[in-house]
Amino acid sequence: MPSKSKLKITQNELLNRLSAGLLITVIFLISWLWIKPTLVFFGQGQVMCTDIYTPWKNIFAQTPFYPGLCIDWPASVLSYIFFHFNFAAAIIITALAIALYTIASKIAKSLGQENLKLLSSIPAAMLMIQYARYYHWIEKPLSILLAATAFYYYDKTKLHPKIKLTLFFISTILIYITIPKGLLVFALLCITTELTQKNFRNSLILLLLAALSPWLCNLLIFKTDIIETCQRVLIFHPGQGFACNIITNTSIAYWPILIILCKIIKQKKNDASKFVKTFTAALPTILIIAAVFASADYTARNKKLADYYSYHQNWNKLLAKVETLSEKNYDILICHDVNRALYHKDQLTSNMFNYPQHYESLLLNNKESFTGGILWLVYPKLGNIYYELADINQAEHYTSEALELLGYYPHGLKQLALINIIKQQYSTAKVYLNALSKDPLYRKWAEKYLDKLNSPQLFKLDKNIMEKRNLWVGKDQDMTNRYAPQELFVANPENKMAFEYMMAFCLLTGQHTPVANSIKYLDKLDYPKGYIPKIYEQAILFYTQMTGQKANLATRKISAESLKTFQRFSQKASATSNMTTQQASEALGNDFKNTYYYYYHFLRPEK
Amino acid sequence: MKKNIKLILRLTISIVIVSYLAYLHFKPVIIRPCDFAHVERNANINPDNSNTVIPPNIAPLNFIIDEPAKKYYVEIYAEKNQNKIAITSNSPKIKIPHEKWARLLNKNKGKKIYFDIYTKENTKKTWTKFKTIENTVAEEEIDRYVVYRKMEALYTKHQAIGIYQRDLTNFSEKPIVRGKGFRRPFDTSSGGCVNCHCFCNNSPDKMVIAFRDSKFGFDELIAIDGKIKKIGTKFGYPTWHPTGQMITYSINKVFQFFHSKRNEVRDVVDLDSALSYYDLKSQKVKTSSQFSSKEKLETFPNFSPDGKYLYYCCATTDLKGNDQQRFDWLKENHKKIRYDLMRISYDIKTDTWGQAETVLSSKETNKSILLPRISPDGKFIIFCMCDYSSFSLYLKDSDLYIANLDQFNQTGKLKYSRLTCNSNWPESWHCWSSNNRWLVFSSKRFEGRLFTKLYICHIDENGNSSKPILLPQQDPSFYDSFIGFYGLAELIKKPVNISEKEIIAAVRSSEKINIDMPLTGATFKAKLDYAPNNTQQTRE
Repeated sequence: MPSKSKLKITQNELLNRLSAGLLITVIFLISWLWIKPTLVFFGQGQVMCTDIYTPWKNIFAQTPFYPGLCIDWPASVLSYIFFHFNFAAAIIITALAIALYTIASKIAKSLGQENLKLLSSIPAAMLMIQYARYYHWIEKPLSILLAATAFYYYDKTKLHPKIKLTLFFISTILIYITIPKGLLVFALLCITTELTQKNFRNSLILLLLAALSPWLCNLLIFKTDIIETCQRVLIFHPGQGFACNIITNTSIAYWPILIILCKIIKQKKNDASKFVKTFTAALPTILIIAAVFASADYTARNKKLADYYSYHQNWNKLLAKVETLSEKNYDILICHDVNRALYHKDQLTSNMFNYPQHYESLLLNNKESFTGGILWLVYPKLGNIYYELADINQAEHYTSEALELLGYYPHGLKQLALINIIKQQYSTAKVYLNALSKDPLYRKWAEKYLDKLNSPQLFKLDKNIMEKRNLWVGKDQDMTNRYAPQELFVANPENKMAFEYMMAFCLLTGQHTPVANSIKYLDKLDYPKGYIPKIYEQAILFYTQMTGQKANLATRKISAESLKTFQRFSQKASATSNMTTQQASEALGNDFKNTYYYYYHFLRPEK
Repeated sequence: MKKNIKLILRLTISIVIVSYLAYLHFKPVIIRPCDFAHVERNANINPDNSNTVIPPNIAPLNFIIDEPAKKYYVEIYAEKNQNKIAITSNSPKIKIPHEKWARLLNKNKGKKIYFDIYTKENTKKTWTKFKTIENTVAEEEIDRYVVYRKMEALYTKHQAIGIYQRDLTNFSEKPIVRGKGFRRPFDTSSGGCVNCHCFCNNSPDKMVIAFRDSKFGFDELIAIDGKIKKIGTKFGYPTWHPTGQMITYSINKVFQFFHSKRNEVRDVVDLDSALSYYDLKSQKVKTSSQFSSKEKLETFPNFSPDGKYLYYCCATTDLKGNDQQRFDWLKENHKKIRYDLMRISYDIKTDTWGQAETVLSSKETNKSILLPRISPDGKFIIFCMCDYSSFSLYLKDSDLYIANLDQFNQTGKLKYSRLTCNSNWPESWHCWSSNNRWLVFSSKRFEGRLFTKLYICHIDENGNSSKPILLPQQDPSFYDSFIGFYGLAELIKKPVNISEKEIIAAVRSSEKINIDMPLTGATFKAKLDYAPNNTQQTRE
């Protein structure tokens, strides 16, 4: 028979294990199912300096050796996993969160605090907050974890004070070279420990040594200046906003606070009731759930999901997801994805104005206006849309630009291989396919096409390749300042996508005359007989009203429903003639928001 | 504790023994095939470095045997089977042992070496022996280092551009400067662009490198005997005067545009260009009306080795007005722009220029003449010719041509001929070795369209070129998946002795020699009074 106290210990242990299990499960489930860590690479610009798509590439050949390059490589390997495997990424986040929790508990325990579970779970909560807001700088939590672990073992080491100071100095040098973002955590932990023990002289020496080591490293090894030293050590994300910097820096400030609190808080006797014990054990889990859902960036998540579905060409899910976005969150990129999805679902000609639109939302006009970080998103999208439009050289241009900015992202390599196959440049395609085949996940696809390259006549059986080859027509000309769909369509009146995009462009820019004059092309493009797409009807009616001329509709007719809508709009619009634009917009918004008329009057910029 | 140590020791010993046995098992045993059938053709090898002339100090020319087989056997030997290297491999990649290769080449300068290739398929009992490949080892060594620019498929954005130095006797490649290094830790913007490196007399003691960066400006770095100075202007295509006292360079206002249907998407035109020169002693930039005319496009300067002549390319155009007007004109007429090969005499002592003269007219060749490079002995000039314009690498028909300058000096007529090292794809950006016998150049022949690679060919005393060899890599399949360019190769006799950190520090430094340019963009400053012929414009 076990003694009562032994049974009590066993119950405590069981509770601890249950609480740990619950914590792991909750973190994993939230990460996997709700955060979806793979989304970190969508809907925003660059997230890492190193190449996440080809972590097997020699990163040392890319950049001069710098402090932190050692941690950047594992970070890029982990990021590669994040990009491809949501499940594995969730495991990584869980492991990282639990490791942070464990090391915080161990440090607290080494300072005599065994029951500071809630306090110990803060680093894990901070990590989860970062991922709930899609800040993916994985090298930073990794550095913090390693630095805290280094401190734990450093603190445990019992040595002569002078030897320990030497050990500290060597440690700071090693930490600065390998994980510079962890230096601050390590130094702060050591200094705070000395301060709490009232060893003011020692803490001052440690402070000096901690400042000296990176400076020395930069002077002797890296030959950089003091600005760079500070930048390597501090965690700061310019341009990422206040909240982001507060969250990331709190995760550093936490560690010295932990030491101080461990010294201040008095250890209580563990004689609480069963309920209190159970509640206390569940507190870390509650904290993490509360932290994630209170701080999550829901808009960012929805936008990322839309971009993710667009990347994977899951048009139905994309259209369903954007329904959850408020109108103000429809940025130019979301609009672009929506229009692309609408085209692929055969709805661009009917439902285009059911979604908010921007003047430049096709991305094809005024491309020079995109500068800075947005290019990371715009160029791959331009590469895709030009490829779909069969404007092959433009597709090659923008996919190559995207490859230069993003690194060898697999979709870019695939697309460039296909582009060169379309252009019958098989040896160039082979280079891209060989590069792609180095990625274990795309090897099979690349090898299939490499095999086909041995007998290129097989591509004549490839429907997609032949379709693009046939559509890519026209004479060579300078592509600067030209608008592709118009020229593509003029060169090949069978290019349906070019036609719909050309019409969409005319509508977005308020040119209803070319729309009215282009109805004759509907016959060649297999639109149902007698039918005119809804938004074209609206433009034609507008054209007739404004110019007094009738459009050449050949055998087609405006539907009665469109005529009725137009009449209703005209009546209501004339009633708003004395109102301000804002008032008129509100008055007409309820009934006509999804029409071209409304877009033309109230949303189209005066360009 | 002791038990644990013993266990670890035992485990370690076991692992070592098993690994050694596995190594012995999998290590290909070199057994010369006795039973083989002859095939009267060369084996397909990649890169195809057969029947050519190779430098006696080149790194092993590793290759892939592109024949269906499961086992491969290669013998490389000199006449009478001397210095034989035997390689057995289960992979088609043949990696030649470095030391043996170096010994073989060193002992057979001026002689032939032979490659016997045998393959064996699984289904067959006998080996297949292909026709012996012959190569000649040249007497003359190539300069040990080649400096080039390496970058990825460049359109307008760039992330990883670097200037690298490769030791040609082995596979070591060292960065001289990489644009990514300009960036500070928080800065995720694109790295800087580094370009147009140039050396004086194939020596790294005098070097210029241009850089372009959104943060640190557009400047030039001049490194002399290990000391770097930043000059407050960017040189276009530079050339050192052989005395090392001045650098002549072009200023190019480049405009890039893209083709909608042509296989090569990119194209480039000079909206404007002119030549200028920087006097190192007075730290002044000067020019002459002879080579900075507003109606003409002057570019690609190159000094003769005696320093008495500056060769350059010049196109006469109807370009007028502002950039937009010039671009509009070029859009319609850029295919009509052809450059003549010009030269102008120069006296470094008095700093005076002679009268520009046409060496070879584009009307005569019906092609645009670009990139003149004179051999260090002054005997030959190699230039590039293509259909139009000045950016030869984007034009499929760009080829290298050679002409004898001695003959030209005697007869006044330049007789040129197309080098046999050319392919059906663009060739250009060439460089002579210091002993006049080797030429390194860029070519797109590897895959035919996009990626330039470096090739090395021998030029004999009569100006004949050998079949070129591709810059060797340790992994012979390296280029098969390399999405990038090697360009602007410059041969040098010894390594660059300045570290990358020093160059980056100079780029970031605010200290620079400020230059008052006599030119704006590519032409004279407005209101600058043109001096009559033979005088140069100088401004402090």
